[in-house]
Amino acid sequence: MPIWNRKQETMQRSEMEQLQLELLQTTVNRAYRNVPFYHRKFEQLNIAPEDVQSLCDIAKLPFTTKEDLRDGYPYEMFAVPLREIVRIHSSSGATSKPVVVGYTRNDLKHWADQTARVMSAAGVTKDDVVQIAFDYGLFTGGFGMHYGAERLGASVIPVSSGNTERQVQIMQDFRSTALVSTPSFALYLAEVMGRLGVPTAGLWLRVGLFGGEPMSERMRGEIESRLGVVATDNYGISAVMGPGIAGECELRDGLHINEDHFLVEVVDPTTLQVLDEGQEGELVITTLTKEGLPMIRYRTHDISRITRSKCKCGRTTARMAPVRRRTDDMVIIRGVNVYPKEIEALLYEIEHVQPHYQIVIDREAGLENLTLRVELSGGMISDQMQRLVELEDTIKHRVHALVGLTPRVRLVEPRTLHEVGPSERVIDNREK
Amino acid sequence: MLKLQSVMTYYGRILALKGVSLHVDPGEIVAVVGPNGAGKTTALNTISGVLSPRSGRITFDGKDIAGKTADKLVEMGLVQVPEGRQLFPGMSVYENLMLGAYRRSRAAKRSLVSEDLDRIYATFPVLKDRSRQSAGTLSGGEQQMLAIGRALMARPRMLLLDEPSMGLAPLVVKEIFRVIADLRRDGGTTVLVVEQNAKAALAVAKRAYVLETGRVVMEGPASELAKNPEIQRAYLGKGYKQMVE
Repeated sequence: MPIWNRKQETMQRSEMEQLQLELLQTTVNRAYRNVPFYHRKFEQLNIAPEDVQSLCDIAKLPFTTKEDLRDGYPYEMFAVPLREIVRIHSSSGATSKPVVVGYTRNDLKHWADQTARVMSAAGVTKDDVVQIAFDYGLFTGGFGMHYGAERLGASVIPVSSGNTERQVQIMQDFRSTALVSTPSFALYLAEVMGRLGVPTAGLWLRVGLFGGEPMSERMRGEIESRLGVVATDNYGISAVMGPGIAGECELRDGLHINEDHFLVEVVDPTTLQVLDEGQEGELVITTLTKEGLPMIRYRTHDISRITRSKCKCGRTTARMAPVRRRTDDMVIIRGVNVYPKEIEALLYEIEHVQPHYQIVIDREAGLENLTLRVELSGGMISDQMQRLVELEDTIKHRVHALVGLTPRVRLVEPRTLHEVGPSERVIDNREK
Repeated sequence: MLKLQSVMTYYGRILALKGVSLHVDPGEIVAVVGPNGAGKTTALNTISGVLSPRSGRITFDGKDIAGKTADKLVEMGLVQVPEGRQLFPGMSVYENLMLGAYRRSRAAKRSLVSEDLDRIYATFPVLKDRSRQSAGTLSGGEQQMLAIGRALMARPRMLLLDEPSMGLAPLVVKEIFRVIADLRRDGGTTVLVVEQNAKAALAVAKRAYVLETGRVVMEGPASELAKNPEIQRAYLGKGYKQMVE
């Protein structure tokens, strides 16, 4: 498949490192000069921009957290005057102040090039009809991928999220060949198609680009078989830019990072020490070309690892492992570390239930209890008491084998939990 | 072709370059723009061996050149056209040009030198017309052409140009930059030009760096930077931070 920006994506390592050093220094210089937050941080750490003399020196620089961005709400972290900002995106901010991201004209131009690379790597060409089922609005997903598809010259359908039945109709009638969405929405689409009796064999779909949430290999397999697509994973984070940071090529052996725009480190989430190539830890991203909102060492809380070995596709860029877990979605129950994503993966393997779930943590008489609400599959007749009890027991045993805790299990009606968002996945009632 | 990594240079007691990194690929015209006192000339003088860097690395064709003399660099193919031309006003145009070939005249064949001379006369017909005239009688633009011509006599693979527009009328500046663009197109000469006249430099350069108080604050395609409001501000020296207006 064609490499969209051959010059930048197939650079020699030494050239890339020179470019990254140059861009890191310009970013640090601008952030230090224009963003009071960074100026203050540098002074507190007693460092100056010129202390960055090599790429390794990035370890001297301060981290940036989501809380820092919230504290700077709305525009304090911007490095240019507002009149140079041509676009503003924002996180939902359901529980606290949202994170606001500003883009200059150049930022948008670079963004389009980067998402075009990701789409091209996944196999999308100008001949494709691309159905973008990410939300268009304050969320970065829709617009970001839209720009890339448009830059490639594909036929773009900005259908946005939701309205599933209409999406199915469009997919059939407009002959969509590529789907851009979250993996869970893709599965939901497949389910709706099943309900409507739409045969996936009659679809034109051949490629799927999935992002916005973790996609397990199991999910990938299910999407591929149910929708008849080659499913690729791509990575983005709104505070840094949105989609376009990294994406899988058709070999699907790691996500190619757009290293000429982002410097990606992996750190130990506890000690914050930089880890070696291949070691798993928290991804930390520094923007190299962003003008509106440059970001130095942004802590993503996403867990991954990096390899710089060459990919057979010809791209020389570093690759990151798909993000399947986050450092901050770990919950500690009775002193045990529980990753909801692991429970999700486990539910996948159990028949008659969907991987749609909710974890509720309560404290009763000082004792912490884990309750798992799990959605039944459509075909499961829920009035067969005996089978339901067996199913509950199976889940209890499997969870106990995985984490060492026996949860209470509450089976719920089909399609009651599929819309539970990441922020509602864990209900922790202990603090109240 | 040319690489600088975190170069720091003192100009007297002032740290004039605070860790500058840049690169020039073969066949490129790269511009370094920035306001007066940003460190542009210091950067060029550090590359050409006039000044020695305190720290950092400079390589030309992969070879370390930090601290090498200008002579040595001319032999390697790296030739600087200094700011203010630095011609010999009492000598003729022809004699000034021949001085540019002094490193070669003994080793290289005379015929090659005269071939080069013909080529330079073709590029700058005015220099041929005035070859017997003393350099001091030339106009500012003609002197700049002579300075570039003299540098070309050394058969550089890379030319370092220091403020070629200095003191010249706008039309003459245009002419000089047209010649710079031609050099790359016709002769494949790689060019690094430092220039306060950002508009003129960005019009011919492929990529550019914006230098401010000894630090590179931006880099990118020249066409992109030409449209950047920050560059305007860097020159006007206006107050930077105006968030909500």
